[in-house]
Amino acid sequence: MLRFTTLTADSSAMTALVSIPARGMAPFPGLVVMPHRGGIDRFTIDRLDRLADLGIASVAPDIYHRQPVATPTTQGKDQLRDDEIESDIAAVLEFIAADGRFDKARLGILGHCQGGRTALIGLVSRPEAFCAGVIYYGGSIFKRMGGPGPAPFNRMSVIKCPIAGFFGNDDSNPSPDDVSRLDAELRRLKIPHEFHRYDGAGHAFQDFTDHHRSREPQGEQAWAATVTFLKRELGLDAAAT
Amino acid sequence: MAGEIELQVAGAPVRALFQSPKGKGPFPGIVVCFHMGGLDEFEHWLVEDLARQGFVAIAPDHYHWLPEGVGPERRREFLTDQGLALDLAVCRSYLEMQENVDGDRLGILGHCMGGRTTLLGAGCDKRYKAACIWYGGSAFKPLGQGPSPVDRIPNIAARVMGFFGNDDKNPSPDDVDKIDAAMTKAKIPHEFHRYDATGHGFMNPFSEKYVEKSAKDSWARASAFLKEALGA
Repeated sequence: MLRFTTLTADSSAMTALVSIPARGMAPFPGLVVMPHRGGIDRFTIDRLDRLADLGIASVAPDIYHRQPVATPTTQGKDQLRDDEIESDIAAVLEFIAADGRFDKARLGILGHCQGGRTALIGLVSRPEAFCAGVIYYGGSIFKRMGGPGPAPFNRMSVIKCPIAGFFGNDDSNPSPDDVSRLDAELRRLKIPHEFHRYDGAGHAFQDFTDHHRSREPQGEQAWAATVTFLKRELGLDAAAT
Repeated sequence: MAGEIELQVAGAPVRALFQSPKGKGPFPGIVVCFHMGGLDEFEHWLVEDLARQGFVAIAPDHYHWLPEGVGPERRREFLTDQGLALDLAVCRSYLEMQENVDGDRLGILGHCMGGRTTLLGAGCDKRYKAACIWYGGSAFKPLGQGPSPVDRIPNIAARVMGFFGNDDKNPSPDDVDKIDAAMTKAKIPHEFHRYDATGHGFMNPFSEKYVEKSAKDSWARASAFLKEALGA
């Protein structure tokens, strides 16, 4: 079941898509799904549907809510600010905390592209809330967006949970060097993580709506590995497939 | 690309886009009413995504009523509400006959001219449980004989969701107010979303009228609504 809801972040109305599994009993393990650059679109809906089929409840917030209607996401993505994203994530966590369909003890955060970066922001700003993080080709993690303060990369020492990362070796942001840097830092901080790095794939390789960059075999492999990771870290019953 | 099938309407062969989700089903079904551009890339986009989300989707080519060589700009000379309704009835029957379709869970949706066709279809056929209308204009007059789509509103059994741009001239905000009032008066459960800085044709990503935020908001809302109303 998919439902639109409206949350409040920094006194601004923020819509969010809530997905609850059709079968099984609440409370369900949950995921905060940070949208990719395109926002809450067909790709995001498809991920929420797939998660629901696995028995995972999820919430995807519209982080573009502060921007005027006429702003296309290609411009809007550059106007996002890290402190505002933190507020948005906080609003989602407040919603989840009050909603009995979500098992707060089994909550992760996942995102693609820009959503990979904002998922990392979630992990570093609210480390106590999450028991798993999934980052697909999250770029620009070495810089802060908006206002003073450290970049997400420089805040990672507070992370408490395992992370799964998925990257295309032809990507330029994050480049293979960027990914190696992230890998090294997580190892230095002793944060358990598994990285999957795919040849013949660049950015957005799992996005079937992106005809240029979509790579179905790598996308499906990555999703299968994501499912394995989530089943383990969110304590999904093996029978609930 | 969605698949294509051939239907028969009043003895004439009629193209239709048709796509099923993966798996056995049974799935809910959706009749898709095309916009003025006909069965183009936008209609393929819709049918494909509906199938991906778990609906069996069908979109008939209403332009079979147009004589050879006549283009969509002259459609009002040849299309009638009777003809459109017949196309929809054949599609609905076709869906009900499929093994992978649950005939008790049927919806209808459309954009622009297809928004009008959706309103017409829901007003003629009580079997639809959900209807989604994007900027359906010219709904206050019939094509050919009979009541207009707006006048058929009291017969609607479906729950309705509508999406409109506040800069649209047909339907204008006044028109939308009137349609809203007619549904309220007839006690049809409905929810309208009206977008500022948005005109006609806003959901079509292949058109320069595309307004990304309004388009994506409306598609996500419609997807959620259809899943809930049709149990996908």
